[in-house]
Amino acid sequence: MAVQMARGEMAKFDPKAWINLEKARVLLLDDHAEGGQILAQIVMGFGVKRITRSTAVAEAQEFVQASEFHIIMVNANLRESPAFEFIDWLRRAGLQPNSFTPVILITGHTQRAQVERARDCGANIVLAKPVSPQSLLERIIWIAREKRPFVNCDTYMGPDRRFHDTGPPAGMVGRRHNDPPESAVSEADVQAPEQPAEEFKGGEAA
Amino acid sequence: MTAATFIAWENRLSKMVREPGGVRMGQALEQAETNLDTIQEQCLEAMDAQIEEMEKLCAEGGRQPPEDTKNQLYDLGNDVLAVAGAFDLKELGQASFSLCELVDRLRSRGKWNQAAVEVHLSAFRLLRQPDPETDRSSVILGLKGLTDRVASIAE
Repeated sequence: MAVQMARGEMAKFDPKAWINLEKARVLLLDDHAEGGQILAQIVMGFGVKRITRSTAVAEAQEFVQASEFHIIMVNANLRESPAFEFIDWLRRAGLQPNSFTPVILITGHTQRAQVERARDCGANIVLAKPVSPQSLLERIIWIAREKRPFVNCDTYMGPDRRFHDTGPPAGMVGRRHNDPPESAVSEADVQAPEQPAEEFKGGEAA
Repeated sequence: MTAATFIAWENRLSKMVREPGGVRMGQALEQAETNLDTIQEQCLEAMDAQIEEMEKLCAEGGRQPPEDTKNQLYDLGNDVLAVAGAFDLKELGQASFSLCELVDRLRSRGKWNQAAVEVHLSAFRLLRQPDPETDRSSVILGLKGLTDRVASIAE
């Protein structure tokens, strides 16, 4: 089953704009040799020089405890241990700054029983296989613009899953400190505002 | 209902990508494609071996394969999906997705349909070849329809 995860408007980019990933440290957690190679070759093409590859959750846990990463990519279809548990652990591990590092969850087919786990594990964005350079670059640009706060509660720790602040559902009391009181929320208030995709301007040439 | 805490965080990547230097995005895409070309042959060889392994598993498992065989077929299907689509074999990737859906829905109900799995694997062979005469979209539609029918009966 394909994972449908709400996401913002995908970043549009100017091919002439600059992007600098030379200093980025990327962790790839993928136990499929060819899948991991594909990801590694793509991100190297983007100029990433420091890639750490891991094929097991326990090993990846050691890496994030030892080094800082700027992007973490996780194959959702790990054979030996659930990828979602790694992300959930990462978010709650209290590692500064890695517990807040953007995570791209790479999904193939997702088991029906796992769809909710994929949505709720704390990843910033889901990228469905097959991965192409264009689709991955779009996600990286998107997470570079990521501003959603993290939400921490009993059942979830990760980026706010609401991409637009439309307030609590009609008739319910919100849990955000800045949510309006129940009586103030009407159907008209909960229409999501249209937000056009912001063009990524990129950096400057050296 | 428990209270939720909202935590602001610094997006280190945001500053980094804008630092002077780096590459133009168009060049980044071109270089990534060039890099993929260097591993294409090796990845496709590995994928072909995985398809062979699936055929073997399916044949050996018969009409009532052990759970481990079903799980291996599912995992290998996901492996094929990852490689095929990355190297211009989009329909093969779609066929492997259909197989994974079929296997997942059948195994979750404790059911199996060897013939439907075999049809998918035969389609893998067909879609692996660059034959312009093959109506690839019809093959995919047929596989999806088969998966839906067989899985619906099992459910």
